Amino acid sequence: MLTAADAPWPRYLAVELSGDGARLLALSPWLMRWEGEVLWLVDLTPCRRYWETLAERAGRTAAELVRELLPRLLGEDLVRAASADHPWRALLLARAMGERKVGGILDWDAPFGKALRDALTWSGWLALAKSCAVHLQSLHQKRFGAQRFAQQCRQLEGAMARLGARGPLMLAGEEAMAFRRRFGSWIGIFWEWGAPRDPASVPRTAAPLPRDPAAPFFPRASVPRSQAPRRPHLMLIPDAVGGGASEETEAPRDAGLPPREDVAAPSPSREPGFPWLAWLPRTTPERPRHLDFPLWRWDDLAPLLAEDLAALGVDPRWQPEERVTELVWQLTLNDLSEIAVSVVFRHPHDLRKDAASGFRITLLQASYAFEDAMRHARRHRESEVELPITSWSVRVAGRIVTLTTWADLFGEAGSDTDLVRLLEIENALAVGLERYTLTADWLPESSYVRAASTSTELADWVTLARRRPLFYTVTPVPLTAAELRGSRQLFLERVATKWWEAGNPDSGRRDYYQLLDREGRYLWAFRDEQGAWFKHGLFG
Amino acid sequence: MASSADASPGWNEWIAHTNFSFLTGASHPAEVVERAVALGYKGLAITDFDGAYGLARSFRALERLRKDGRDGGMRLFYGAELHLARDHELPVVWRDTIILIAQSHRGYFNLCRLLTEAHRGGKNGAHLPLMEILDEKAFDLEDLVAIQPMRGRARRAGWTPAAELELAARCAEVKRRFGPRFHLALSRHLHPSEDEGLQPTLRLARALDVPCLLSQDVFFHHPDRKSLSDLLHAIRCNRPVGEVTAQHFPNAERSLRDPAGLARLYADLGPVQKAAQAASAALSASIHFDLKELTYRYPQEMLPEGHTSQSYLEELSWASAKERFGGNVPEKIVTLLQHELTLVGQLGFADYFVTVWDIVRWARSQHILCQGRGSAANSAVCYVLGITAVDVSEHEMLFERFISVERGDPPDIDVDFEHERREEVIQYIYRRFGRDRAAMVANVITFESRGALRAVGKALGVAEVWLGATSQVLGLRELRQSEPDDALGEAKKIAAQKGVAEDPATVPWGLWGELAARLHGFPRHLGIHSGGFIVTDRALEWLAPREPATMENRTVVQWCKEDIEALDIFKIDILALGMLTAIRKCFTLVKDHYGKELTIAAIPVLDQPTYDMICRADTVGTFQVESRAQMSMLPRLKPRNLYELAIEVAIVRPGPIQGKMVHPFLRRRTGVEKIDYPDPRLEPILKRTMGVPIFQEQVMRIAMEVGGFSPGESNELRRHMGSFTMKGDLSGMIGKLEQGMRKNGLGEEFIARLMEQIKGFSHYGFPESHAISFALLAYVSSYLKQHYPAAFFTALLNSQPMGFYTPHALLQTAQHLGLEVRPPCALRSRWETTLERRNGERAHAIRVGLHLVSSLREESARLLVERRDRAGGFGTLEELLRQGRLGRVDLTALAAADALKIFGVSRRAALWIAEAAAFTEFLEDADVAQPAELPPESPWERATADFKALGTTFGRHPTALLREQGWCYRPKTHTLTPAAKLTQVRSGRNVVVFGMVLVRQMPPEAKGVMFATLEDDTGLINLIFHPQVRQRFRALIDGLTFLCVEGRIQNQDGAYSILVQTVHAPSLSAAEVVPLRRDALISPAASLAQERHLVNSRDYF
Repeated sequence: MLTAADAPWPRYLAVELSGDGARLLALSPWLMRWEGEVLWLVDLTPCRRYWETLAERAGRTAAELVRELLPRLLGEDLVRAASADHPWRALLLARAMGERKVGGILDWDAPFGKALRDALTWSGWLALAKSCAVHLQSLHQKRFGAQRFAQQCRQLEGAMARLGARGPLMLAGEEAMAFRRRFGSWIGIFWEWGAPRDPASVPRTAAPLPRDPAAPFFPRASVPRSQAPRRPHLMLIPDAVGGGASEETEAPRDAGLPPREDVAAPSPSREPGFPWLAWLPRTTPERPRHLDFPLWRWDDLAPLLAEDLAALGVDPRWQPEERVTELVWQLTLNDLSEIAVSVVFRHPHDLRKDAASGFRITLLQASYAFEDAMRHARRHRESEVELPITSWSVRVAGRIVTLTTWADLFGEAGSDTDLVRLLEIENALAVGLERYTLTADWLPESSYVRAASTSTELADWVTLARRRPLFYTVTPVPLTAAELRGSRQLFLERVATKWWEAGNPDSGRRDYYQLLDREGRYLWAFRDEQGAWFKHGLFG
Repeated sequence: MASSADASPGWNEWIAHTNFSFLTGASHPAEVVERAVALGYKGLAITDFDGAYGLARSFRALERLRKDGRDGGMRLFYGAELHLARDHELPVVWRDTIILIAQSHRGYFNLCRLLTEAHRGGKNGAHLPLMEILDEKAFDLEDLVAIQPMRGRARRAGWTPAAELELAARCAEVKRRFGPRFHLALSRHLHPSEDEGLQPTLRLARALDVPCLLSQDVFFHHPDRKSLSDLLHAIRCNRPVGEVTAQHFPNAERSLRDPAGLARLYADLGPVQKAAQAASAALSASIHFDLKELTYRYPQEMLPEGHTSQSYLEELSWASAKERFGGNVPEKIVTLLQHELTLVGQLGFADYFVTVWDIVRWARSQHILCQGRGSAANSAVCYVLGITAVDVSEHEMLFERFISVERGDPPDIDVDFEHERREEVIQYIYRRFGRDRAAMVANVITFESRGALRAVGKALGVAEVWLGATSQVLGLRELRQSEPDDALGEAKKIAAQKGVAEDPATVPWGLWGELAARLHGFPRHLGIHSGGFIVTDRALEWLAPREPATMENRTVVQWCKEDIEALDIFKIDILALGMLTAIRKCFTLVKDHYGKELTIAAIPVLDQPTYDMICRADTVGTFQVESRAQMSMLPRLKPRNLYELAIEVAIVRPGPIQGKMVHPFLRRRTGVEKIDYPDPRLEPILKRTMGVPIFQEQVMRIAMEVGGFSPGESNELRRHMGSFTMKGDLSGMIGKLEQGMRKNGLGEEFIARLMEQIKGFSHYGFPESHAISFALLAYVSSYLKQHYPAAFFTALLNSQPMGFYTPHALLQTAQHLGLEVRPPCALRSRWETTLERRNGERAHAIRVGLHLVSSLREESARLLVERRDRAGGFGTLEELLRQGRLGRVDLTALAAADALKIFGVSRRAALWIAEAAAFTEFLEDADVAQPAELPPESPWERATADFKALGTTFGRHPTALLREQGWCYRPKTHTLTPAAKLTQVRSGRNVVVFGMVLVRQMPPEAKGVMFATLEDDTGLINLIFHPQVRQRFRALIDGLTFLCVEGRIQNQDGAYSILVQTVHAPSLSAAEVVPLRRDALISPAASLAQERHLVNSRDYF
């Protein structure tokens, strides 16, 4: 427990937290969300001095301070957190706590923590190992094969079942090499991370991997960035209209955003080999403007907005890999009321590149959003008068760090320019492009679908398309007796309705006709099994 | 052909698929035929995909109608639609196919040859390229009509000019080969995508001068089957129905429509319609083939020069009789043989007997034990030929049960062979007669309740959790036969109990149930019959096409047993019997270890120690009389000769039990009730069973004697007993029997009892001959158990899987009998279980073989034994690791079974070493052979590990362990009554017992009563659960390996059962300690009590 005065500094915390991890930023900027679990890993190393200072002022140990702070931060009565000098051990203990449904903050080396970790089952251990494998895979770790690893996990599971070992405790005396020989390198590595019982014996700096891989992960302290292995940047595209602190971008610790001041020098104590995937908060570049006199016409606003965009584009926090998905243009009117104009891009948009064309695309999209917002505001105020704007601020509300492989997509390397152009066109349009195609479905209203139909066998349905009208009604409209009177019908086709949608295996059929009504229109109408007539389309 | 002016135009439908176009056609053949007849069709061509699967059933349906005079004069045309490319995954209308219809028997043979050839590539994806069909050197197309349906590649291409050209070129080729027998089929389905080909087809017909036929291109008999049709497409594609719309037909027009409507449909074609009408009529007139023409002959090659099959059979029979009886054939046998041979000659069945004799003779020459059973054991010919082993001179056999003149049906000889060597016999038949003349009978696998619900549910996109819940429900015996709707109701309940998160409202329960009910009974695919064989004197294609079966080296004809029987085609049943294998292996062991050469015939028939053992019900492991019910009957019936043993075998069957024959017989047997006969004429029939009818033959003879039945009629009665119903055909027969018996003055009570028994036989009843055949094997197995128990149990273990009990139960029984059982050992065991001479004694110990070690491959184990023998044994574990060269899986399997213990390595250490098997080559510089410091196994860990690795334990019995160290039930252990003492408890007393579940049984006729056999460290415990008790404690009874029950003991004549009143649940609270205590976490004894899979009990639900 962290209550003892000589409790070790909890270098790593594994915290059970089902929601947003932003709250944990109060502890450390170095966070990691553990895949497949409701666990967050906090590396407290960078703030150690800060916490120690605070603790000293409060007359407590740093460990006690963290223990007090955590429930308040999480706002939950039952806190489940485990501390250890290695992230893997913190995770193992947290998992063991979860298995036994034990709450509190326990340390790996505290007596109760020791008892609990001894109670950890192989299923819990393997679950963690498998989730670690997900991280390894996402990092494209060399010499890591997901299938092989899964097979080794199964081997371990089977072997432990045969041994009658419910948890790792029975094999506590075994060396990592014994596991490597039996179940492969990675199981051996995990065993090495979790096995040492004596904190003094933990190889904190030595590489734990005697054979392979030589340098499994990113020893960021020792390898210059330029020489670090290329790895993909994880990207999580925020919701197009969302934003705020809850949105997140996951990237490795040195993924491109500048390091925060307090972590400028990466700690040499970082565990070598551990697949740490940092969770980072969003930063929000912003540009305010106060107008000399009120303006309301787009033509007057656009040049000024372009200036602000240009300023945003050279924001020092703005990195080449970053793309905009949403801008929020916060307008202040002369009555001090505010209107938020959300400029959303359909595809990640490169502000810098757009600068070369005078922000043509951004301004186009902004103009649509501006017109919509103004129309809405006028409707809301029941006013026909234009609304004068006195000031604004424009900020990046949504952005992503693109994968390095996306570089080509945006034309940097000059390949696939057609696609880039198409995406740019879509970004410049007021409405998105929609593509439809025939699909192999006999029911008329289902026979056209948005593009990306996988069917390539369309001969029958092309035939159908020739016989059917160009214009459909969204839903069939009942035809009255008056409309039918004097009409002439030519039978076209008979289709069965989709019984599984109606929930009745004997659901009916439709007989389609070309119906010439008294007004000379060629309607596409059908008669159902009960004899009722419906209009379903119109021939050109 | 139809004419719009004609009020009753009639119609020849040239393309009709039944549900034997597997997972495509949506109607049973009978439904298609009946509707066509009802609509007044003149003719109907059955054209299933790539086979003749549905032809026999269609024929049978029409024959039934014809028999009742309701066929309307409709004709059936026999054909098939043949895939020309392997494009079965495409929608039906895009597949490249051609339809072939037989005009004569020759044409039918040609069709079957093409179909057989189409299946040459394997079970799935049957097809034959058109160019091969048209190859004059390859196939004879005489008397075959070809019809090109208006679909396929051209339609797939959208009837483009190029596609039309290609089609025209192809049709020209077909016409060149088929001449005027080639037709084009025009179809109209009120849909543009399907009518698109109408004009191109007409153009083609004109250009090539090919007649057109009109067809609805039928895939279901009635429009209301459209939904089922869609569903089948979805099931075939293994995707939800909404995702395979391309596979569906757009509307329900591909069904049989009334001819007047069809005439209107095609009326606008004018002269084309008239021409098609004429072509259809001409084609119909040119077809003169019916399945009735199929004739069958047995192979003749085994007949010596100058012999007919009859003369050869007679010669063989008399010679064999002389040989069997040493030249002095008993008068009775002579009379029987003369009678039977005359009858066989009249009916022309001699070929059949000679063929079966030939097969049996070959099996004997290969030392494969075999024995005929069933009605064949009524035959003296079968007896003297060695096909059956029941001496007809000693029993009153009813030959009419086997063959009757009136019936004229082919006789049915079932021959059992050793189950491990039956394949040799099967392959011999293929070799002997050639694969073109011998094939096994198919078995049509249909959608049953569970399968139908699962398939429909999946096609409707029902979540897996609901599918699982439904399957779970249907896994239970009482719901297996239930209607799908009931099962769905139960599934809802189970899902609710389990707290399934998915909203049940999202499941289309009604639709699911309704469609599953519609799908129920539909054929799914073709399987293989358990042993039915057809052999013919000429190519099988004269009867039916052949195709490869799923099992390697086997071929099947495309018809099932019922189809074969309906067409009067003979089949031979080559069956497998595990006990024959065990007996043969036991004979070998006795010869090798005891120096005695035994045969079935050489075993003394009245060995009293054997009968003493049988009367004590000490029959675990023996044939037939080892079940719970049999064992409880043996001490009461006390059989003392073979016939009484036959009665024992036959009486514990649903027929006699349901017919309430058991207790009257027992009362008469023990002298409590007087033996009387309802009529003096029945005395000879019922005398041997003390006035109580027990066997099927007795019912038949009663029917003949006092019911006014002829032998043929009585056999007809017997045949219908299997599907007894008071409705339908049998009601007349039953009425006649009742009437006959009344007329003969039999009492109402006897008549009612006999009727009850006939009903009982509908579930299961034995013919006398069959019972005697089985009794003989029961006696032989008992004799071996009594006199050579070690060899007997060894042989049983080496013949697994077979019998009623698990290897564990057999080994426990052997140990209770005082035999020494030695565990598997890497240095001592061979693959099979063997006998080892005990030191300084004449007795033998059983050394369990490596075959019982779970996950150990036979090939590896045999190699290990071979290398061990070659090396003169392994001195150390390292030697075994180096020289045994076992892989990780095999080594861990051996270690898990504690077979490496002989090297002084504990199981856990051995397992840890075995996991590093890949590193054995680095033994000198690695820790591979160094045992890890692992904690020793506790006794219950040992028991658990033993059961997991071997299915049994050689340590203390787990029930003893639980009793002493992990007791977690409410009753105190001192109140428990061990199995060995139960026979001493007075009947009616309450007892508490505890044991491991070996067998659970719920016979259908028991009306919900469940029987279970437990085992403790002293013996077996018999339990009976009444339905209420079972329902109340169902989770415990069905789920747990160990049961602690309380109930009243019923003890009668040395047989006892406990009528369970309470089942005690294990409680962890009594045994669970502080959660973090190490031993509690690793091996809580109480968790063993809650073990659900420690022993795989044999459940008969």
